[in-house]
Amino acid sequence: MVDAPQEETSHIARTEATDALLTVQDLTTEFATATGSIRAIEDVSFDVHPGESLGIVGESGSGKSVTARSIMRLLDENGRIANGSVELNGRDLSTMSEHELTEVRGSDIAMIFQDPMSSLTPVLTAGTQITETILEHQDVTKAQAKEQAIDLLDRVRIPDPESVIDTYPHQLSGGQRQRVLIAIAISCDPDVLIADEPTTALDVTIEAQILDLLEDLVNEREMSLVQITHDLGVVAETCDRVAVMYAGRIVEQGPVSEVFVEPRHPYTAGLLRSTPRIADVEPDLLAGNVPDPGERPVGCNFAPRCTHSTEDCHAVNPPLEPAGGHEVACIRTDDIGPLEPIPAATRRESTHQEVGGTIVEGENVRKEFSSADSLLDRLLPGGDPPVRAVDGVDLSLSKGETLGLVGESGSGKTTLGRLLLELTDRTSGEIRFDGRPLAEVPNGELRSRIQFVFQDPNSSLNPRQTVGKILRFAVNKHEAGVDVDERIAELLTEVGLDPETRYDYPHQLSGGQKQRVGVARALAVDPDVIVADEPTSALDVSVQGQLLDLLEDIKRKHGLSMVFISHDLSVIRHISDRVAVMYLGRIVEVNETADLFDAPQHPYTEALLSAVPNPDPQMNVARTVLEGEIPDPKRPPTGCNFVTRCPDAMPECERLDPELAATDDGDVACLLHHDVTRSDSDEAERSTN
Amino acid sequence: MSEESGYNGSGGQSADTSDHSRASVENPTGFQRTWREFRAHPLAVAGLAVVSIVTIVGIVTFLDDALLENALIKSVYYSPFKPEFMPLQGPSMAHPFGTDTLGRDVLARTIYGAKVSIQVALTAVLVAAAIGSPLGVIAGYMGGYVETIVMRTVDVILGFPALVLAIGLVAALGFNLTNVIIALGIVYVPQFARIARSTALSVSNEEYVDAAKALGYSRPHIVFREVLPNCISPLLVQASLLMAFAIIAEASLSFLGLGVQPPTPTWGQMVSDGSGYLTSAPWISLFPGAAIFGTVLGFNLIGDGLRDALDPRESAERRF
Repeated sequence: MVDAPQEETSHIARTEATDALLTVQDLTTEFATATGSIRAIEDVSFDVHPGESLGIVGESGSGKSVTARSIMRLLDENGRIANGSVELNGRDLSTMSEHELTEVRGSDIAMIFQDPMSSLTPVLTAGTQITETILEHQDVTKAQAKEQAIDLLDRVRIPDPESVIDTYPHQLSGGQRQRVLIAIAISCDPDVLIADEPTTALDVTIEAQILDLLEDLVNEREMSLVQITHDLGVVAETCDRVAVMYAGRIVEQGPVSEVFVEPRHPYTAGLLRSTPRIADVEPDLLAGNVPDPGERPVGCNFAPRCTHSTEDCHAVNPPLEPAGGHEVACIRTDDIGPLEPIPAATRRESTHQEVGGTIVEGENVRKEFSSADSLLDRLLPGGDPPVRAVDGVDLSLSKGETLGLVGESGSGKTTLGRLLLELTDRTSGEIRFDGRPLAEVPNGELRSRIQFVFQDPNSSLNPRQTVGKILRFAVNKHEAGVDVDERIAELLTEVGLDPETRYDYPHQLSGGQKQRVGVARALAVDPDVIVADEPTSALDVSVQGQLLDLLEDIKRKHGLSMVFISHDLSVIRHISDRVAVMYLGRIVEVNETADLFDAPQHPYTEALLSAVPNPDPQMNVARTVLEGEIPDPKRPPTGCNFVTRCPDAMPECERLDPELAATDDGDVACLLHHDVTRSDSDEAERSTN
Repeated sequence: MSEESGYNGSGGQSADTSDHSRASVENPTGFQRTWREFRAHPLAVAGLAVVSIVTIVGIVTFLDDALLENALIKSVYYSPFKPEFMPLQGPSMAHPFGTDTLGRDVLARTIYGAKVSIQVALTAVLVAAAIGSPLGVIAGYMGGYVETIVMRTVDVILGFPALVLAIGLVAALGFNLTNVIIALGIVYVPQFARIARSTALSVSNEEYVDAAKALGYSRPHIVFREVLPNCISPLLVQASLLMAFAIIAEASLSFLGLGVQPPTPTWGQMVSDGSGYLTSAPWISLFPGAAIFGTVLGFNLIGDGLRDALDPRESAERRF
C-alpha cells in the first residue's frame, strides 16, 4: 500500500487536474504480427470517476477487450502500449515495472474475466483461490483470511459459503464460479473493478443475478466499475456512462441516458437500431462487417459502412469532440444531428403467409442420458439416475411456420432439436414426420427433407475441406444429374456469399460467413424443415441481424418450416411465429409469439422476459430476478419442475405435476391456470423407466 | 487457377512479403498449399533435405547392388563387402570414416547401409499406419462392440514388449528383410490405432460430423472424409517418431542375427559390430550412429513441419 502522505499529495494533484479515479489518455496498443505491427486500439481516452460505472461497448474486433487488458497491462507477449497513459490515483500504470504492478493489481484495480469455466484453477479449492489473493495483498493470518473469504462468498450471495469454500471449481455451476471470481476480485477492496463480458457465458436469469450483484457491490463499496460488453441491454441497465468503440477507436462517449436515447454517431445509432428487441419493433440492419485491425480504412473507420458518409469522411480521422452533451467522433455531427435509436417500423406481424398442415409432430418424446454406460454399471443397483434431458414433450410444427424453442442451458432444447433429426436416439415417445412415424420414413428421404443449422461456426464446418467441397458432397448426395458447380454458385449466392468463396477454407471466413456456409449446406438438399440451433449466438449484433434476415428470406422463398432454438428471447421474438418455452426437459408454455411476449402465462416465461436486459434506458422497469439455479436434471424436484424457483409457488405445486394444457391464453403447464396434472399412467411409466 | 498457382510456384517468397493480404491469397489445391506452408519452416525443409539425400543414396545403392553388382561404388570408391584393407584404421584421407574389424571401408558400408534403413523405416511405418489408423478411427467413431474388439486386440499386442514380439514374428516367418518389415509393421499397429482412436473420439463430437450425419452421408464417407483427415496431425508426428524407432529396431534385430544377414551392411549392425571397440576404434560405431541420428532427426523435423502444414488453421492465422 502507498503510504499516506504521498497519497495525499497525489490526491491533491489529481483533484486539480481532474477528479477522475482512472484516467486513460490517448491509449494506443500495438501487436507485432508476422506481417508487421497492427494497432488494435488507437487514441482511446476516457475517465472513470469514483463510484461510477462505465460501459465499454462494441462488436468483436472493436478493441474493447484489448483496452481492458492494456489498462491492466495483461497484454500477450506480442502486444505493447505504443502511446498514451493510464493513470490510477495519479500513478501511471503504463510505465510501472512488473513488480510495482503486482502491488497495484488486485489491491487497487482488479479484473473479472469472461469465461468462468477457465478462469479458476481446477486443482485448488475456491477457498484457497480467494485466500491466496488476500494473503498476497494483506497482512493477515491464514485463519483471518479464511474468515474473510467466507464473508466475501456470503457477500457475493453464494448460499452456504462455509461449505462452498472447500469445493473445487468443477463442483460449482457457471454462475457460482463467476461469483467466486467476483469474490476474488473484490477481496482486497479495489478502487476500480474491470469486468470483461462477465455475463456473456451465463444464462439470462443468472445474468440478471450477477448484474444485480455487481450493481449492489458498486453502490455498497463506492467502487468504480468498467464493464466491457457487446450487449447494449447490459450497458443500459447497469452503467452510468458508456463509451462506444468501433474498430479500435471510441466513436461516442457520454451518459447512457443520453447516448442511448439521442445517439449522435451513426454507428451508435446503427448498433442500437440493429439490436433485436423484445419491444414491438423490427430491427434495422447495419450492413457490412467490422474491418480487421490490419485492414482499417483511411479516414473514419466507419465511413465505408456509414449511410451519412461523404468524401471528407474518407480523408480525415475524426477526433472525439463534444457535441450535444456527450463526445462524438464524427466530422458530420452538426449536419446529421441527433439520431433515432429505435427503428420506426413496427413489427411485421405474422411473417408466415399461410400455415399449412402439421409437418413434424412429437408426442411424449423422452430422452434420457445414462451415466451408467458399461454393462456392469447397468446390472449393478445404485449409481446415478439418468439425466432426463427431454422429459415427455409434445410439440407440433406446421408447414411454413417458425417455431421458436427457448430455454436456458440445461433445458433440453438442443436435445429436442437433435431428436427431430434422429441425430440422437429417443428413449421413448413418437415423432411423426409428414404424418408417418420416423421409423417408417426412409433415411434418405428424412435426410433430404429436414436439415440442421449448427450453433458454433468454428466447429460446424470441416476445417480440412474447402467451402466448395463441403457443399459438393451435400449436392452430390441428394441431387443427381445437376450441374454441381452451378448449384454451388447458386447456393452461395443465395446465402449472400461471393461464389468465389468456394475456394476458401472455413478458417479464412468470418463467423457470419461461416454460418452462411452452414445455411447453404442445409439448403443444398432442398429441405422442407430446418432446425436451427442457436445459429446466431456466436455472432455480433449487426451480423446476427443479417443472418436472421437471411433465414427469414430463405424460409419465405422456399416455404420452409423452421424450428429455431435459442436462449435469446429478443432473437426469438424477431423470428418466430410461435414460441415454446422449455424448462428442465419440459415445455412449460406454448403460444403465438405476440401473445406470449405480451402476456406470458407461466411464471418462468414471465421471469425470463423480465430478465432480458433492455437497450432502452428509458424502459427501466422493475425486474423479476429468479433466485437459485436450474435444478440437477438427474434429480428434478417432485411436483412442478419449476417449484424451487417459482415466485408464485403454492403448496400444491410441490405435490402435483402440471401437464401442458390448453387454456384461453395458449398452452401452459402451471397450476395457476388449470388443474390438469400428469396422469397416473404417465407417472407409472416414468417410475418403471 | 493454374496460372495463379504457377505464379506461386515460381515466386513463392512473394507470398510472405509484407503486402501479403487476404485478397491476394489465391486458392491453391491442398497439395500446393501444404507445400507452401511446409516451406515456411526452415527446419522442416532441412529435415526433408537430409531424408531426401539418404533416400536417394538408398535408391542408388539398391540399384547398384541389384543390377550392377556393386560396379558403381567400386568404380568410384571401395567395395562395402570385401575386406581389402588393414583392419581398425582410424579416419584418414584414404578412408575418411576408417576401416572396421575386418578391414572394410566404413564409409562405403555406411553409404550402403542407407538402403536397408530407409527401406525398413518407410515400409514398416507405412504398413503400420495403413492398418492402424483406419482401425483406430473406426473404433473411435463407431464405439460399442467394434471399439471393444479393436482396442482390446490392440491392447494384447501392446502387452508384449515391442522388440520381443518382433523377434517372435521374425522367428516364425523366417529371417529376411521382408519379414523384418512385416514384423515391425505389425508391432507398430497399436501405436497408430490408439492415437487414431483417441483423436477420432474428440473429432466425432465436432458439429461437422453431426452435419454429415444430418445430410445422410454413409458411414465410410463420415469416417474417411470427415473424421480421418482431422486426425492426421498426431498420426504424422507419430509416424515420424516411429520411423526413427524402426531404424533402431531393425538395428537390434540385425544385431541378434534375425534381420538382414551379413555381409550386407546396415547401420544398426555396424553400430553393434563396433560396440566392442568403442574405446579403441570408436569410428566403427560413430559414423553409422551419426547416420542413424541424422536420419531420425530428419524424420522428426519433417513430422513437425507436416503437422503444421497440413492443418489449414495454422496458416493465415488471425490472432491478436
